[in-house]
Amino acid sequence: MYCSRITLSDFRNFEHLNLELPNEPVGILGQNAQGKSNLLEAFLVLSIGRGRNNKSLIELIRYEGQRPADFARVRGNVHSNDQSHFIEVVFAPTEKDDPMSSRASRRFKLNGKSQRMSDLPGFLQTVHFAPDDADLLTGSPSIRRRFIDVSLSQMRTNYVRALIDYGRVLGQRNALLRNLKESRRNDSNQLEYWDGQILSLSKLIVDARIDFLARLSKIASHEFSALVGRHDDFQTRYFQSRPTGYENFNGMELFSRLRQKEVGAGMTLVGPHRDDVRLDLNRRPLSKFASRGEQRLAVLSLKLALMKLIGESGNPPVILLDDIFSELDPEHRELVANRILEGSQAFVSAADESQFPSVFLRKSRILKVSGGNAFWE
Amino acid sequence: MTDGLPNQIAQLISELSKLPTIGPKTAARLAFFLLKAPSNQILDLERSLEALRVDIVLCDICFNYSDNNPCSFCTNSDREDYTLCVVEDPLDLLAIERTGQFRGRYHVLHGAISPLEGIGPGDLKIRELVERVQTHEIHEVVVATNATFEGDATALEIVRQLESTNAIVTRLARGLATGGDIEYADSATLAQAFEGRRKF
Ligand SMILES: [Zn+2]
Repeated sequence: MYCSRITLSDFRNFEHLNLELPNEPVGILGQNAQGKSNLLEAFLVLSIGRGRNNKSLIELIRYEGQRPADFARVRGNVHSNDQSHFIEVVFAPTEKDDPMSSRASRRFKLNGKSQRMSDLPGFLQTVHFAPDDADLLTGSPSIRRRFIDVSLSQMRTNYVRALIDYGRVLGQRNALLRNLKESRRNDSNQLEYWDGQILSLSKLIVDARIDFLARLSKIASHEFSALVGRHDDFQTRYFQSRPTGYENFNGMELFSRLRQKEVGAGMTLVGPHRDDVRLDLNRRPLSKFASRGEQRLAVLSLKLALMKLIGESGNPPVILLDDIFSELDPEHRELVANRILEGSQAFVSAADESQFPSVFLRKSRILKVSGGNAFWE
Repeated sequence: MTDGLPNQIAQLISELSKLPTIGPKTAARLAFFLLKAPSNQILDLERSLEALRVDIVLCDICFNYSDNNPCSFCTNSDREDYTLCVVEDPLDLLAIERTGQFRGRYHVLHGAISPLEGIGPGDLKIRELVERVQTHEIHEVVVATNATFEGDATALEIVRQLESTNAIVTRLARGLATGGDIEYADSATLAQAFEGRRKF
């Protein structure tokens, strides 16, 4: 899978950029704050329709002084086995007249035709490596859920749909619980319908996540062994959220036992929106018992595993590597570089050319990014 | 943004921007379009707005909008009395009418159950529907709410409330895309959905 051209208009710090791209590794060089990460983020936009870390959409639009530009646009020609597509994603401030407005809407066109945003993920599959990846272990559960959801969205076409439907049903169910709490209405028999819907969507989402994690951690365990040079037991465990004392209940029974608690809280207390994943090394949680170095390599092996897992479908994903060589010792840099070179297209950024292993430099082209512009060397 | 404009224009812009899908920018564009429009066009618009306010009422039987009470759907003797089609909105009624598949009578709910918007069963014309079914000889109630979670929740509530009556309750077949609004479905798809309607 690769992207043969990318065009940016008022995206982040790029006013205008039009780049033809080779189907091979690209090294992106530039000082800090020149646009390296932003360029990588543009590929992420083509891939999943949003930027890094769930940042708000308005931040993707270039600012002219105090005001956001009319819109930000990312266009790309993407190719997989024998299919080619032209993708366009546009972000526009919802209220252009209000400079304080913090919201933006987005649109997605496939080959010139407007499509639902939820149909975007999958056309350009990417794996994004970033310096803050270690947050996957030590950060909040929402970071881990997002990693799983973004990965699965690219691999299963109906997964995004299930997430969106889940969000909608969750909103309705929460509103109903809130109404019951404030006893504005006596609609308690209404819960039955939303309970049923939320349970079937939960099952769809949780089953997909557990299956994904099982396949991912199997590969990641090999990747981790290769990185640390010894054989360790590397596992992931999925935790379905349960208030204390309700661990052994599921489905409708769980809901009926939780009824009073949920009405009291005015919201849904269990479900995939509150679940978590734990990564274990030799049966102990990595976040607590591993060194910083081991944690970094563990997360790296998860990303390398994701590369392989997506590639199993016959289309290796496009790799986005945002300045992570600086954190690795020379030996691990070379290991990672070799893995990237096995794949298809890759964009690897660094502040200094010396951070690229020589094997990578020999086989890649260099793009220099400076002040919101980019030039081939 | 209306600073410096004569009050009358600012007022019009503010009224227009209360309309659905109209933002302040579009409202301003419309206002200036109207300023330049020939006076007979403005008069026609005035008259239609006035007519909307004065002449249009909710039909006491089916709750569709009409200039007659009861409306022509309810009084037309060519339509059969034994089947009722329940829709969320008047526009859905029109969409179904266009298919030419349905010759019974209608019942408009004026919305769907949506706790987020504060709409419960009591806010819809469901009680009126039950009364209608209880007091008239109705054999079948076709629930044609949208193929959304809210439409489904509404359909289920209708089934629950009609349980004690003798009417058979059916639901349009799932030819409609999930999340699909009846209003936007093409006639052929809608006709098929009608043909394949199922008992709950
Ligand atoms: Zn009527």
